[in-house]
Amino acid sequence: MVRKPAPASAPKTPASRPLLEWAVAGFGLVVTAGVLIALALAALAPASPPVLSARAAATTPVPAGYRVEVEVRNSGRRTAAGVEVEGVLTPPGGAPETATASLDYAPTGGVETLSLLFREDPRRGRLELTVRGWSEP
Amino acid sequence: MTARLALSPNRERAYAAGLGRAFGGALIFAFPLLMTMEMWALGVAIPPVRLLAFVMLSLPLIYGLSDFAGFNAQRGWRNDVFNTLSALAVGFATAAAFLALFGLLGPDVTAGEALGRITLQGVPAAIGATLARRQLGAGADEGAEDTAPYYGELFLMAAGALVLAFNVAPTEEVIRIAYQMAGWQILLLALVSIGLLHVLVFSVGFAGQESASHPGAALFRFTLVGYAIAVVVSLFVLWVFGRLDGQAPSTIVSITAVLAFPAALGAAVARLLV
Repeated sequence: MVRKPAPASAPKTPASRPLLEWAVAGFGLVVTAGVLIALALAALAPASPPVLSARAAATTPVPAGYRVEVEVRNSGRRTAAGVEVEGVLTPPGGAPETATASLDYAPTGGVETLSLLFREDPRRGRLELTVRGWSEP
Repeated sequence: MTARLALSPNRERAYAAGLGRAFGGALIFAFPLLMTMEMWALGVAIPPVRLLAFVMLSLPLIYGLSDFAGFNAQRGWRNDVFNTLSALAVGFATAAAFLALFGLLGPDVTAGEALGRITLQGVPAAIGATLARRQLGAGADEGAEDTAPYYGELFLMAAGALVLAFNVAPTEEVIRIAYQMAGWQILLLALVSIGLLHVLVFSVGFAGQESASHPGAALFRFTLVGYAIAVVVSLFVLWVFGRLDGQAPSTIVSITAVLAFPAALGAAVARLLV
């Protein structure tokens, strides 16, 4: 690698700094400062336990029955792990049907989606969705 | 001012080449972490305070490494600051780009989740970007750190320990291994770590030639101090990842001894990395 000795040996002259370096270093400064500020704000915000709610977003017929897309929302300020969601479908005539699924994580302010499968059509019965529990991440 | 910002194609090209190497280094250091499942989850699960502490402590580390390695051979604090910021830019950009490519920053990911994931991966990538010149460069300017002072050597050990510990710490296996081991095995692992550290320090020529003639002195000056550094770095990394929360003191000792093994190897071969 052939390097001209003059710029390499004169580190204190700002004139020798490439424009690209200013741009990249500037980007680095903005991103790093942004990350630090965002983390500091998040750290200072009061931590409240996870507040989880589940609601049915869509129902689609599938070969095995009916798939209910469930949206789990965490409106608390802490992340929940291993979230268990249970759906109980009570058709107009017949025994109630239970389906469960779990989420690895429900992050703060996030909406995660999971699917429950039922043999009967949930649109023609009463569907109850419950968040059964979760653990600390 | 116009003279300051004058455009010189050769200089721009030389910097762009260094930048390319930095992206390569960032990727090589970060890809095992980018492709580790626990790291995606930890980006969400780590409390912001610990992530903040991790970033704050990484900044002087990257700055110090810039002094030893960095994008170019130029010296001086101003240059180190520019190198540090450039490395952080490369690290965060690399982490964000590949997390997005892997589908881990999709529309269902919240801003906080994305911030955690990119930060946790971007910092090791920035360390890789800093080390790229030494790893992938032409190697034209060896020698500057061969004369590193004692505290410089210890700093390099800490950096090497952090790099290897960080690659292993997020995995479940560290805790599993600690649970599997009996007390005597933990003790033996610590002794093996110290022994390997001592042997590697000599074979890599880390301790410098003047100490090589006094193995006893080097044991105290480098090996035991190096192991202590590995233990402290391991404790810090485990704390950041929340691996020590709610553990009994004896378990904390076991987990730390397990992670101190790769950390000690990292400290020993820091000279190869940096």
